[in-house]
Amino acid sequence: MAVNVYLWSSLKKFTNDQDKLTLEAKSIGELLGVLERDFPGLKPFLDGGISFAINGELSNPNSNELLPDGAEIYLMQKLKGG
Amino acid sequence: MAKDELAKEFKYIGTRPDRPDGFDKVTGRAKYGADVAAVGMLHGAVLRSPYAHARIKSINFEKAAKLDGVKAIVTRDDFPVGIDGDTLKLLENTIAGEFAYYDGHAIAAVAATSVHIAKEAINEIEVEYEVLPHVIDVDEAIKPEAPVVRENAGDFSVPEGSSPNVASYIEFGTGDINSGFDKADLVKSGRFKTEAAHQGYIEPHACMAQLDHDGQGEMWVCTQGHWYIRQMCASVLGLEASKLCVTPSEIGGGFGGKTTIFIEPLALALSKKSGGRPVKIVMSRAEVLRATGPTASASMDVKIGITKDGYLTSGLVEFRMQGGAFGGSPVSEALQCAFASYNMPAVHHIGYDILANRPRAAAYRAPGSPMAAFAVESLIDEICTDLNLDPIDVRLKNAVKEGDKSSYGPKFKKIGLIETLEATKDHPNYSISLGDNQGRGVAAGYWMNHGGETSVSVSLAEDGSVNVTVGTPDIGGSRASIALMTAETYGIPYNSVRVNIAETGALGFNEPTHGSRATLASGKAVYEAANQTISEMCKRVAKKWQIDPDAVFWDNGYAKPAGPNAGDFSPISIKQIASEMDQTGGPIAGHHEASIRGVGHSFGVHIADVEVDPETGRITVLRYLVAQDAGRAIHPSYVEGQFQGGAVQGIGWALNEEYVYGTDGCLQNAAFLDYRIPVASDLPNIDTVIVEVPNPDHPFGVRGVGETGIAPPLPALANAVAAATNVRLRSLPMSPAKVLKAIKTGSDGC
Amino acid sequence: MTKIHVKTNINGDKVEFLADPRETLLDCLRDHIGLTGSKEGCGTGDCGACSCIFDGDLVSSCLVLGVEAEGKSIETIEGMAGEKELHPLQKKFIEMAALQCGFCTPGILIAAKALLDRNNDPTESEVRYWLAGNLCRCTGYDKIIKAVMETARDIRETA
Repeated sequence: MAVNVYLWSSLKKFTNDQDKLTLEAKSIGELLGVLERDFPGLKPFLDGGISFAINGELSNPNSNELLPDGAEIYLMQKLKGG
Repeated sequence: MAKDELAKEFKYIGTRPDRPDGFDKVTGRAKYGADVAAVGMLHGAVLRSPYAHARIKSINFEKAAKLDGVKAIVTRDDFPVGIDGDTLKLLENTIAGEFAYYDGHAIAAVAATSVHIAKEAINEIEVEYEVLPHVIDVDEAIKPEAPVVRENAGDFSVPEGSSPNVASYIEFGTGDINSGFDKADLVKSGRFKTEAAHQGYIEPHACMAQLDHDGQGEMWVCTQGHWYIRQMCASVLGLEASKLCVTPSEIGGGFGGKTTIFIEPLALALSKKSGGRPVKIVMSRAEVLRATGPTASASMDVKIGITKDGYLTSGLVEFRMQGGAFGGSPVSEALQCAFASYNMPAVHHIGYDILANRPRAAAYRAPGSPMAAFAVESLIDEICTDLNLDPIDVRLKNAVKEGDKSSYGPKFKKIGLIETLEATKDHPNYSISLGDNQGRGVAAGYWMNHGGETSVSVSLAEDGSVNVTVGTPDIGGSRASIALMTAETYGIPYNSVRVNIAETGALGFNEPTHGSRATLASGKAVYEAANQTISEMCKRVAKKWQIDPDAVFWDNGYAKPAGPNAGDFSPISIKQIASEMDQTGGPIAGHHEASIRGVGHSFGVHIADVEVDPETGRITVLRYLVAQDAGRAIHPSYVEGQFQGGAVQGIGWALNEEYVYGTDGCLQNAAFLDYRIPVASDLPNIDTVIVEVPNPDHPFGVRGVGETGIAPPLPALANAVAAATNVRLRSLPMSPAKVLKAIKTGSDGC
Repeated sequence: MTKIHVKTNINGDKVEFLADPRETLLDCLRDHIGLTGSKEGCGTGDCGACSCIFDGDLVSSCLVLGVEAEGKSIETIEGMAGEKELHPLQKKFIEMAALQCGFCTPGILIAAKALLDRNNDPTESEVRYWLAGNLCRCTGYDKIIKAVMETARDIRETA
């Protein structure tokens, strides 16, 4: 399952200067594992808590969630509110 | 109502019944944080740093401990060691270790048999301080030569060579902004500054806590989110979460400021040290202003390119925000909101989260969005003036709609900005003529809203009335909206539903009432749980009729046969089903736990009319309109209330409110007299227009509404003042002295 | 400090309590008599959440000492409703959603009642200035002012 992952540009220094990655992952959990494995510099960000937008829909990560093929996934800093 | 339909016509939703807790609140019967007492209760008081930055060399509380009536004194030594990460920051803010980082930082706490003795004891504690240099202003703090607030504060995001007070850094964007600026007919830039504001809830933080040596604890506390309080207290005290039961009181306002801990771990620690006696701590107003969590102050640079017929080509923002001594200013949310309303081919965002010797910022209603709106919406207004274009028309030309890619990346689903802009343009307020020294300002604002972890349960009472149990405290009428959604789902009267807000032991985890999520998330979960019970009721009736469960459907409070083929049966009411529960299989209840998704963004557009007195600089708000997309207004009165309340907080932030520090780094205006929030005589009526573009991902079309309203007022008022005086103020608040000076000199120096 | 025995009348009832001379009337109402309807929002007389009627005068009870209650007649929010029904202001506030968190509500109701007891035909401006000493952070005052004006009209019509 190929998905497109978009990172915020200040993370580029950990991903060989790419802010768009095309990766193979079936689920969110797998995607996080692939990101950590291929780009270990991202680990502190992923551990610190991030929000995802999957095909436009905002959410906090559910590691078992299956990803649609070709999904557009945006990583963002964890969202809350006041 | 059948589960698969998104009904267009509602019976209960959209009506304005009395809220269920109205009687309690108008009679003084409702119990808030400070309204309880217990046998053997002690009163707590907190010793706070009088310095903005100091090393704590020693704490001697011998004298204090000898006072008659003092039962416990705690310092950092009474808290666990070996904590790190975010929990360490929480602990450091709760009670200082080696350093006091801001005026008001808690150093020690005392529990005694009366408030007077506790306060006397505080005065008897001897602390030796080594005063250190401090820094307050965000642009001062980012300078390389600024006093260092905390060593090694920068995280992995901070670029090499950044100032030591930069805690984190974010950068993102899309498209080629330089090419965009080249294509523009006009490129305009500006620096905009906002000061810190406090949420200003009228109820100070208060709690009563008890912790025994077996690690079992109880707490009564005014909070927006008691599971957060449980989690945070457990982590800083080393307790097992389930053994701490947190019950939310009614809450006298929060706006984000009551989603975290301040005095709560102190009360628990004092209780344990006193041998398990209940300890009550109530903050004074001065303590609330000095030592809870105001929002960040911001210094923002914006550059925008536009064609002469009003199409935005390119946008660049750099935001610097200070969120106190521990970081956590809402700079990344602010950047996400900055251009969110507009379709721009190229945008770039840079943000710095900067430390200063100020209290640890907490969330404040759409955190970051008001500052971003002030900067971007003001500059767009300046551009409209330069090009002689109508401000609403320019926004309509560039407004985002369904399918557009947002400025921060993901594509928008169904949204209502265009409808809201059109509703504003059509409103009579937009065409009322103005007199001398009067001006009109328009601005848009945005908040993404939040779903998040939710656990609810629903059960049938024996008489067919329904109990709903949720975990989101009711700050502004959510019991009413949840009851309306429940009534609608079952088809039973609104008054047959009772909504309870339960303590942490009764439900799974619930995120706070924040992020404009209570009506959306608790409502969606309750809908699911209610439908479980409906499904069960249909099953039981099917058994009674000896037909297939699929042949029974629920309609308006009754189980009915699905059609003539199902059989000729009279509908059975929820009342009857409930009365027979014990004989047909036992209690009927449902529950739902989820990380709720499908939030709908909420866009708002405001019009402000002001008159500026050229002799005093005083700004009078003549007229104010809030138009905002609510998706579906479950209880329109409370939706209007959110619009109006948010707008007035924004008006206060724009005109009066700011944190004033002395050269000693201490807060000068720690009281409502000088931290001046709007009063009734400052304001006109706040007109409202509820726009409804239903959120397709919610069973009732709900979008969160609570937060967006605070963002547009900051720029709307600045735009109105510019129209009234021909002088552009780019720093807030626009207090009379500042306005007068700007009128005389032509600018506010920003 | 030796406590002082205070005898007073609250909401029509004879009440006695022991007051520390440093305690405010608000402290005494809340801590000695259990009338927690009056609230402390600031302790400095700026917010009006502690509003009570003290011998016919509208006061911030955080600025009155408990011992000053001796021999006086005090009305708090707990005495506002009749035995059988709510005061017209209380009913109107619920009906018009003139409250959100409800913390300022007791003070505002007491203050509004004090106004309407003196003048049942105030202008909107008079209502706004009368209530300028009662801070509300949730509502923006709009529905509060409308509720007071509507109640005034109802009172005039039934008079």
